[in-house]
Amino acid sequence: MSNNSNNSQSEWPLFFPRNIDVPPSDAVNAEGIFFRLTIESPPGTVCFQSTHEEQPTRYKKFLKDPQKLPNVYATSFFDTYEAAKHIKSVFPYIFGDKYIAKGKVIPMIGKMKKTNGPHHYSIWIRNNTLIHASFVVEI
Amino acid sequence: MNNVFYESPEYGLLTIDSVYEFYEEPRLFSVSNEVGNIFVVYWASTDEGSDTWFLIPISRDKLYQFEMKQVCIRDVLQYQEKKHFVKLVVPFDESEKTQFEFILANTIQNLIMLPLQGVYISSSPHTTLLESPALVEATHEIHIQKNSKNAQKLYLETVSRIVESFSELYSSLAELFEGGTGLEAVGGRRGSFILSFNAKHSELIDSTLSELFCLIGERENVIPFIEKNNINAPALCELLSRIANSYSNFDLKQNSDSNSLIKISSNDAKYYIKTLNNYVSTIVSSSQVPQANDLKKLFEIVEKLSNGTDLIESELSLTRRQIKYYLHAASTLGFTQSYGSITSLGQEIANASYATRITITARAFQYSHCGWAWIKWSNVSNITELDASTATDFLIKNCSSLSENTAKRRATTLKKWCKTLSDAYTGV
Repeated sequence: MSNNSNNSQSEWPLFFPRNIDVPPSDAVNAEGIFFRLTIESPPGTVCFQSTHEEQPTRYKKFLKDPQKLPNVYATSFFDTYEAAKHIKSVFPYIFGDKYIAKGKVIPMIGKMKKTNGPHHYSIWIRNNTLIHASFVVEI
Repeated sequence: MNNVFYESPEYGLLTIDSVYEFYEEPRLFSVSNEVGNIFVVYWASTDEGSDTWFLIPISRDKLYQFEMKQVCIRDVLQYQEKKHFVKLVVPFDESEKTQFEFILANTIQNLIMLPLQGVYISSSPHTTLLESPALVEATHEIHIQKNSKNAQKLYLETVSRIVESFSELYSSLAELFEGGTGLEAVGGRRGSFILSFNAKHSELIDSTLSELFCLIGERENVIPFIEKNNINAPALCELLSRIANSYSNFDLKQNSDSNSLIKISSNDAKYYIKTLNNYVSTIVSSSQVPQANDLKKLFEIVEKLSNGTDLIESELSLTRRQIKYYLHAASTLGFTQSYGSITSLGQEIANASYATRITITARAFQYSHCGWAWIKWSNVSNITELDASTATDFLIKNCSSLSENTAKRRATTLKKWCKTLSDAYTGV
């Protein structure tokens, strides 16, 4: 059964699919200090869009991979400043003009899961959390 | 398959071998095809409907240097070994066609901003691509390589011995730190010799090993550290001997970290061998201490091994675990090899009368590492002079890798063997 059916319909974004578990069942309450590559300083709501909002057709790549498909509806974070800085330096053409914002994430924001690599987290963000207000660009 | 990156008539089926950087998905990784051509794949850009990737042909040697952080990311992109690389524009929608274009390698800087000189991959490569709980993540990697171009080749036998010694050292630490596990083999990668392992709850073990090998790197006196931390000195001595004798360098890397946990050269290893050998002759490791009280049962098992008969629990009236202990005891006496096959001495035991068996075993025990260490510790000349009641004290003081309770349990074997065998011992 989808998580969406366990929670109020308004809790999660409407673009979350109903036929799979999004957030996945093994995601836990989001909590901790995280770092996000943002396009604005100070960060705005647009800086915390999910991958699906940024690239609405990316989900098609994972239609045959039910384990990875839920990640498309999440937003990427790092658990260390160094990891965020490193990814900027490895892909300067893609992330060179991005800021590194630091913020405290609390359970009401959504659910999280460690995905892909030692410091990368996917967070599924609930509606109307104003998460951007908790993040400040690191100098 | 989840690790297929791309398939084309030109390049065949390209599957992902190692991932160096992730962002939402693997973004910098190596792929190879059915005939062993290797490429580094770099994420160049993304738009609303597709990802653009650079497919850079690379030699095995350069890939190894890249993975060992001897070659930076920029150098792989800018100074390519072939004249052309491939730009792939892969749509998210599989029904759309992938665009494939050959690009002159020396024009790559005109296409995208490259990473700065000196930016290396962040960590040891991840070979596990899926998030399935059934798959085991590689937490550590062992790298073994020749210490110079002139050193002799590294043969599998040499590498296996080094890994075996390290595994014993690691497992003995795992026993000390409750919750730690041994090293579970996960896979191997290209390179001199690179083996991936999974070890759970290894933080305490890792920090102890790191501190120990730091002291070794600085040529400090390691005996106080070994004693304070109950390090398995025989296993450490064996590991260092094998590294020194093979003229190789040994690295243990943690995949969550970019630095080596252990880094030891054959010269460092050689420096410690004499000191550790002297120290080790007075102590024993847990793997050298038998735990099999009943000698008749031990002979029965050796006889069955000699005849090629299966060791069945109900026939022996032993549990599987107890059979394992008896097999181990047989190997400490030299009746079997460490991997279980029978030796010539074992054959002699199998074919002898009980009285002869006891006589042979008495000498075997006297000259086993454990028996001889007990004799030396007791300051006597043979097992007939040993005081059986000192067995517990001997193990507690000389076998740091055994907990006190296990030492007491294993001492019952030593006491029993000492009492039974000392009467049958005949000098030279």
